[in-house]
Amino acid sequence: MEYKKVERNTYNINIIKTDRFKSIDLTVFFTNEFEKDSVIKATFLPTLLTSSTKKYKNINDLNIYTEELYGVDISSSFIDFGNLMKLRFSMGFLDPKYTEKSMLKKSLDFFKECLLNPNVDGGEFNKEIFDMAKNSILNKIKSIKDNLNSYADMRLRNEMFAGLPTSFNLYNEYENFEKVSPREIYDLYLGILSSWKIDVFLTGDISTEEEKEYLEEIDKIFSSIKNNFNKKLILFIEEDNPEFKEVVESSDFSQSGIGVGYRFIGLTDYEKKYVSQLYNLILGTVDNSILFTEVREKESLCYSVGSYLVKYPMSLIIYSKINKINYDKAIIKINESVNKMNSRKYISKLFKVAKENIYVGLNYTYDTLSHIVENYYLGMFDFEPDIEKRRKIYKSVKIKDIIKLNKHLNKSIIYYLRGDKE
Amino acid sequence: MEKLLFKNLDEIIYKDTLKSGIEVYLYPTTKTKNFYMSITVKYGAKVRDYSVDGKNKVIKYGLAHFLEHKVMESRKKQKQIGNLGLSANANTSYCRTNFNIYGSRRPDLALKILFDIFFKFKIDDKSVEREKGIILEEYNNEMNDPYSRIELQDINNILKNSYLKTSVLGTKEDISNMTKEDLMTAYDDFYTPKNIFISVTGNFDEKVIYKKIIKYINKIKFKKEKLLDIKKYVEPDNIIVPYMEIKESVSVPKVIMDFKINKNSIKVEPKIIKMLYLRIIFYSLFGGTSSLYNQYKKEGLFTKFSTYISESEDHYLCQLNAATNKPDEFIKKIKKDLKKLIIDNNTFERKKKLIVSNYISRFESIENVESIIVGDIVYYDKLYNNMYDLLCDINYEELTKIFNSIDFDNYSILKVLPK
Repeated sequence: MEYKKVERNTYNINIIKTDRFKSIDLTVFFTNEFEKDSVIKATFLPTLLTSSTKKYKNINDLNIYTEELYGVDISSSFIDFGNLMKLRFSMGFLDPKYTEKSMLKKSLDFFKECLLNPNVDGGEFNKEIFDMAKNSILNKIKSIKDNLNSYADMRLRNEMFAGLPTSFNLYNEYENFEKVSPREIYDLYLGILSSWKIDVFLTGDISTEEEKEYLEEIDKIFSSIKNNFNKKLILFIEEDNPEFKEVVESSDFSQSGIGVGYRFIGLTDYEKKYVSQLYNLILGTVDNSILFTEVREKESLCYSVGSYLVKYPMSLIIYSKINKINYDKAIIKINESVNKMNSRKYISKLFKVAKENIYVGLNYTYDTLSHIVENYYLGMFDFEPDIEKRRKIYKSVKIKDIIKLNKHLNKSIIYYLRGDKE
Repeated sequence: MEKLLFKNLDEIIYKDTLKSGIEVYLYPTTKTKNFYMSITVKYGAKVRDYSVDGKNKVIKYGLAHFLEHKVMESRKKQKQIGNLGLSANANTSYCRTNFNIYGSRRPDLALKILFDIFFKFKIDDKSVEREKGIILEEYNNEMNDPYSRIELQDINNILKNSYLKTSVLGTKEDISNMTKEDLMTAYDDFYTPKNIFISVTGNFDEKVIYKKIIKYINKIKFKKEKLLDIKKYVEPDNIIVPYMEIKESVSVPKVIMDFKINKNSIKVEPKIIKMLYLRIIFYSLFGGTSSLYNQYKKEGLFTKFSTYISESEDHYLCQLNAATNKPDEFIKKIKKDLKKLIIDNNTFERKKKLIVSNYISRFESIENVESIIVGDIVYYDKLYNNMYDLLCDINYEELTKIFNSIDFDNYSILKVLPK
């Protein structure tokens, strides 16, 4: 894989050359600092930008044209991460060497049409498409409460990260979503084009000759955007150490959900990026992890138990679905499991398996186009995009590093969503 | 080894037939760091009556699936699977059983693990009893799903004698009565060299792996190859139950319409292309960009609508599946619209482009390449390395002939109302 960056005045083009795939991917990221009101409005954009354009006024016309382009795939997403937020807009298309030469220009023209020529009437997004996007978001929000795992996780994060962007969840903003107008979203869209950071990624089996043609077409698209972004974006959330709290809520579910949240305090970069991943695998992710063995297999306290990391701020969350009569014992066993992460005896049983998981996971990145792109995108924010460099560092992690990490763990919350349905 | 060049795609798959009769397919590529290897047996849930060296046998439903579980059981003893970050799985369909391993490291060891799981099969009565509970649980999960029950009813309305009428898992009775002897009989009769083929795709040294395969397989003393003859049931062309209404645990009513098309009525060769012509026809007429779909959507005639094509021994089953709050109106309208179906050349060309594109894209994934190999060998006894040319040769004139030969009056309708 070969990577190079081509800088322009108001945007960058990142070219990733790989012969791994038979398709080409063109992705643009618009990034800015987290701002709640913008997040609410921008959540509509993925649907609005991929359902119709000025030329293809409805989803059917759009889909018919994608078929003519050998099944071009347009997708978009919006997420907040740490103290930032990003809108991603992508197009995947079969490498023109397998179809027709004219598909290069036609596909990129289509990309431009979808991204820069939205279906707008009188300064606002088309009402019919807007209503479709709105219904979809509101239904998604409503469905959160129907699922024990989603709801419990959402509530835990609300409490654990209160006051931080990490606590943001669609569920808490239902009324705000209802109030948003198509005009406000269009204004935000224009603001994104003019004042958010623009990074373009072109990935595929691109020869030197083809590179010139792609750059010309990409420049035609992005040089037409008047953009004035000029700050430095840093992905960062300040470390904090909140006081411990226990939150108990009642629900209509028959099962109960437990979430135990920990902050990592005073970690080095190496520990945050590498040691913590292995830690999490051993504690709660690999087959026969410590949590799985102690909470489920030995005590039969639950069907599901596991853990995951939150990066900003660096935290660990343990979750489990239990019967409420098992609550007290489940908490004890979870605590014991975390304590076992101080013991070489327990870590060593899973250390090799965890490293193999990482090894396979890193290889998987090579096999997924979107992961490769995301890899290099995050490389702009203090993340090592070179997979082989990361592999080398993971290889160097020792059991004593895991044990040392455990000493930096500070329990900040127990969240208990009690299932009170008879 | 024979080199099969996939023209226009710059891809090569190597093929060989070992002394024992086992076929080997290798797709080495350095584009990925992973590998995916499998052993496939051309034996699945469809087999019920068969003869071995002239002797007739009838086996229990669900035997192929049960056997797959037992063969895979020895996976638990393989500590190296976890230590090497490997993932070992298996699955059974009506026509084949597939055992596979996915990994990044030591393909030579992974191969040995896969072969040990498959060829060193041992079983005892206790483990059969234990497995009954697990499979019955799987069976209950399937039967507790209203959509599985609807599908089963639908199949029973279309087909009279086909193996599709029974779940791959079997029946509750047959699962409960499975014995070690049943499983050993199936293993001995079907897990034989001429019925097996091996596939390895991904990042591996083909010379090393090929040598390892030969070394391992040559050590096995296979029993004398038996003459197997699987009984075929004659399936009539007509629909069995043209219309039925049932009540099920669904929130929105459903209308399921199936067309039954005799494979021999589609007069194109090779056989592999028949399904593709049918796909183009049905997705052109009823797919998401069709005028029918969009008109019905505009009129609020469905909340969800999809098209799906499957096949039994001698027939293609083309299904339209709608979730609709206006089931009677939907049925009335579609019956009327069946009389005025047309496919224009533009639509045909677009659908053809999609099929070509989908085929080429499959080579991006080593699991998909394995799936191409398995599908071609199981269903057509041959790996089509000229598939790209076959797809490009698909033409509107031939499509029109096939379209005109389809009897769009030969359908069954299943209307499902909420309980």
